[in-house]
Amino acid sequence: MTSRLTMAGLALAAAAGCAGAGQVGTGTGGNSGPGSGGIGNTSGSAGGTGTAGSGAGTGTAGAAGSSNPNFQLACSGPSMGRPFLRLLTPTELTNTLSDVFPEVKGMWTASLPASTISAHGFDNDGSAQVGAQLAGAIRDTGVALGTALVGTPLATILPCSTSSPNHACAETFLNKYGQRLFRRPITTAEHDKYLAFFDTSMGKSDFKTALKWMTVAMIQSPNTLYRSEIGTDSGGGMRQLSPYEVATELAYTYTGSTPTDSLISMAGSGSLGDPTSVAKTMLATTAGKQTLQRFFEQYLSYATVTSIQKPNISTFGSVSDDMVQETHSFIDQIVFQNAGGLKSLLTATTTNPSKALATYYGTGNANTVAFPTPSADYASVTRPSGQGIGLLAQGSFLATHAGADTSSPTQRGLFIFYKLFCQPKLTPPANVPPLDTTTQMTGINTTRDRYEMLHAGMNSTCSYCHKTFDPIGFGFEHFDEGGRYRAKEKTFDINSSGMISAPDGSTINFNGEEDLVTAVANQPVIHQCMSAYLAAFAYGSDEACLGASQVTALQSGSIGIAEAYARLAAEPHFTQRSSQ
Amino acid sequence: MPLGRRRSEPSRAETAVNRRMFMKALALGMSVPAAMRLAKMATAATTTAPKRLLVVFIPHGTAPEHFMPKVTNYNPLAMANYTDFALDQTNVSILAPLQPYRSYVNVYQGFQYPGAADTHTGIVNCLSGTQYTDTTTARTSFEQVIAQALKVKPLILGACSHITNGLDLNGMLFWNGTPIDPEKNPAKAFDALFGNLGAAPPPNADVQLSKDLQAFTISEIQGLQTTLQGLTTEETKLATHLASAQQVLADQNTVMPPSACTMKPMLTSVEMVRSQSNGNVPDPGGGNDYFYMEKNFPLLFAAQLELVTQAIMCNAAPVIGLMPMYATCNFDFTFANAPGSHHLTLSHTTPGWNTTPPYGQYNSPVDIANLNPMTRMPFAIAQKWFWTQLVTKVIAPLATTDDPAAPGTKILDNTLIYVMSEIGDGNDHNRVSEILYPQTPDSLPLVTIGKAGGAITAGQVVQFPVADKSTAGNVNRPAADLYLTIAKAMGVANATFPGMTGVVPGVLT
Repeated sequence: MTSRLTMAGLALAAAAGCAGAGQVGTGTGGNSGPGSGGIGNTSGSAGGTGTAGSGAGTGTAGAAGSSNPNFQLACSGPSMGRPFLRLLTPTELTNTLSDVFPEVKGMWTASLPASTISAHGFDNDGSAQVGAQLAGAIRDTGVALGTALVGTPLATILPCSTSSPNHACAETFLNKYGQRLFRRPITTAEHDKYLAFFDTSMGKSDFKTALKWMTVAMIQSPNTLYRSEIGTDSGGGMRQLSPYEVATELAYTYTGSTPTDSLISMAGSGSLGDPTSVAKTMLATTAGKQTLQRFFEQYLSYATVTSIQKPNISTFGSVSDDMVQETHSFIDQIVFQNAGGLKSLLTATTTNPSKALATYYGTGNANTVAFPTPSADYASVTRPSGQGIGLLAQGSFLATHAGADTSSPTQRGLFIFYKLFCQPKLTPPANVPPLDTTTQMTGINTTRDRYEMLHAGMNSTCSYCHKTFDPIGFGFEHFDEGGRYRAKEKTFDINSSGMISAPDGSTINFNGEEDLVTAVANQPVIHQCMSAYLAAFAYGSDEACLGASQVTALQSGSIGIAEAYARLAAEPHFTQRSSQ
Repeated sequence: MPLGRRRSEPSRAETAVNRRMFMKALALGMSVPAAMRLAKMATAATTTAPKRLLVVFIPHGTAPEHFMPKVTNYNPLAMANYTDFALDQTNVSILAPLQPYRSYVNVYQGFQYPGAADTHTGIVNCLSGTQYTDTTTARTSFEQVIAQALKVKPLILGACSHITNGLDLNGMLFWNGTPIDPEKNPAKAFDALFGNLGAAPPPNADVQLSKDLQAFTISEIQGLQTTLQGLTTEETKLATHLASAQQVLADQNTVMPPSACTMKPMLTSVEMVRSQSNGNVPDPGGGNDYFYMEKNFPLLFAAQLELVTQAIMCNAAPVIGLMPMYATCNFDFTFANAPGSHHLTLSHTTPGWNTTPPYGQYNSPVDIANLNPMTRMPFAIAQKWFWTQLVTKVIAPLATTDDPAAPGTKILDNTLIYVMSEIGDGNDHNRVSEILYPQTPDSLPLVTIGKAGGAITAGQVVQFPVADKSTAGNVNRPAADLYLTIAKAMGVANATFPGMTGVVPGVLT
């Protein structure tokens, strides 16, 4: 093949990682036959926190956060993390304001910058901070909403604004919205302070202007922006979260928005009940399902398929949106309708394409088997035998874990390596050593040939790591860069067989994606790993073992992923924290 | 002032400058109030014209065999300032678009970003001079330092400058304590800069109440800090929030320079973006957001460049940062006649060797001729595309437009554009300027264009030694020295940057 494709493989060597930061198994790389690689046992301790640094020039001092990318899976039981203030994500803040002020929905625009991404790929990291840019954007968002609020809708929202626009009317507004925004009754001190601010503002302007700025003050208050998970000291080195804090945690974890008036009232009267029951009720709602769907979007990074291009597949752009919906519908069916677990997601023989997507899937190179057409867009169909099973055979995953013009055993292998086996993150080398590309290479015809030649045949810096995950990715070689099944790569036969050492010490022999994912789905570690990712998403923390109670049930298949996510509300960390 | 002494009157020369500046500004179409403010500002700054700074990122380094200027009597192992050089005689010549403006150009070779960093993730520290590789320790990129010293609000723009579902570490180029998310919508930035041209200022009450609001929120944060005393991590988090709220208050007291434009400009690419993105629903978790789509990148970049030029011309934003793409971005560059994904295919093309003696051999001279230029032509073409856009849309207009604030000069005379990348060689990922195997001088690609109001001596290749990777750090110059030099050129006398050793010799006039 052309030297560019060999270099693409080399590039992936550099991009994926070679110098090990954790324990990596040993194995031998293959050449033309099946490759083998070793997977180390997962162990290790959580990383320490960084130290605060000083800004350069006139920069501001800031806080360090923990950013340990590795999970500790060996847990003797669930642990409790530290107390913290958890900043609302842009999505959560927008949802909150929309829910608290439905009367002005569509009349204001949030102008919030993107969240930073945690080491585990989630946008709801609990260590997120309010920088200057975000502070300004929150203020601008508040001003936009406040300006809309004191316009035409005000008369409906606050009838006294027409009849008696005064201090008492502002107090009515404060009492109504303060509790929803702060997610607890406002204190007497807060009440007095906000009304004093209103009075001063009204003295400089008029009722509506003063009300607008009081609204902005409430919106950008730290009491609104942070979910308090601080609690109070309950002795024995523990802190007990208040009912209001638990209600807030339930609402954001299971609906992505602020608690309803009803939930706040229940918290106030001590009648929240069993958090898990509340969580299940919430998860069954549209907002609840969207929250868990967001977990999968970020865990799999599949939604980004609509933003990429495949220059050699002219029809790709017309179906990339459908790929997202396919995966969304598939998850809805497996996780919510069927209460399925990870094994079901990985090994289901059905999928949910649109009609156009089904046609697209049948156009892979040298493929003579038509993909079944669904009765309606996104209805379930049974996949053709031998053409993949489960989530990892869907276009959204395959296309986002590939190059622009080539498949990628490294990217696909790394997904399983990191996201299902939870192997320690590897450190890429600082540079890629030059490769002699002038010597003619015979017998190098397919992507696999090139990867095996480059990554196994190179100096030990690259092969040491790549032999642990590239062979996993070879199982996907019958799928091209656009997620279509291909019988051949150009005119060459494809070898998608392999042999890897699994985390449980067994050897996995596979021939193709179906064999591979079936074997992977039987590995106990994937349930520990999924549990850790669910906990990291739910709690916004990378502290170890916070959601450890669910693992056994998840592993046995007695509960599905939705149930496991709901049961995180029953973990000690959900209602208590360890004192610092 | 002692009793009996009159406040000093403006000198006759200052009055003359005032009047001359005022008349010139009127002739160029400025409104009377704006012309008055400009005249007073120029006088207040003695003879210096308003200066502008633009920082531009080009991802994934370069291919030195296509980038390095051709320098007469060049010695990559020595320290020197060369003035006899060409930008268009190096194979593909990535810098060839700059050749007509060579008198404005400085190419810096032999610089380093100190400290270890994992390939492209070193983007998180390369503009601050720090060595932090995490994503939370506070740092400030140098354009923010300069903007704060000048009391102006920097404009940070991006074109697909991070991954779709959030700001990942490969997108954290600009920092102000915390990472800055570049404004990705050029129409929105345009409206913020030019939307109020001709409009009445906001009512006075709102201006004051906005400041009152910030003070109120600051007091709330301080109250919460007191409540949480003892919870170390959360206290630190609130300290960051407090500083940010105080910065927002300070920004409200920032007086931006008077606009040199009285009418809202018409920027074709910006309006195309506005039209095409109408109805766009922000989709931070997915890829259906117009501003993240790969196919829209060329137009978004063009629009941001147009906006940059207009902002500079109108004096609407004295400090600007621009980030097209993010480190490890894999956009396909077929549109630039360089097919292949920019990161994995193009930048990671391994250099080919020239084995014709005396090159490509043990003990060859240290020279880019050791590399086969054909091997990385696609990558070089892709990188040259960035420069072509920058020259066409920014540098050329600024070089040919009279500066209304400084009669007799062009805008580019009073502007400084700093172009950088997060690594040196696209495949080698070096953060030091080294001798790349085999025997190739491989520097970080750092360039300035413009003279910063006469503060910069341009038309040079400023060379510090390259060396073997293991010792390069000992002989390279830290990039922080460039930041210090640029800061001084911009009129910031007391800036400091981690790792700096002093101004770069021969660059400041």
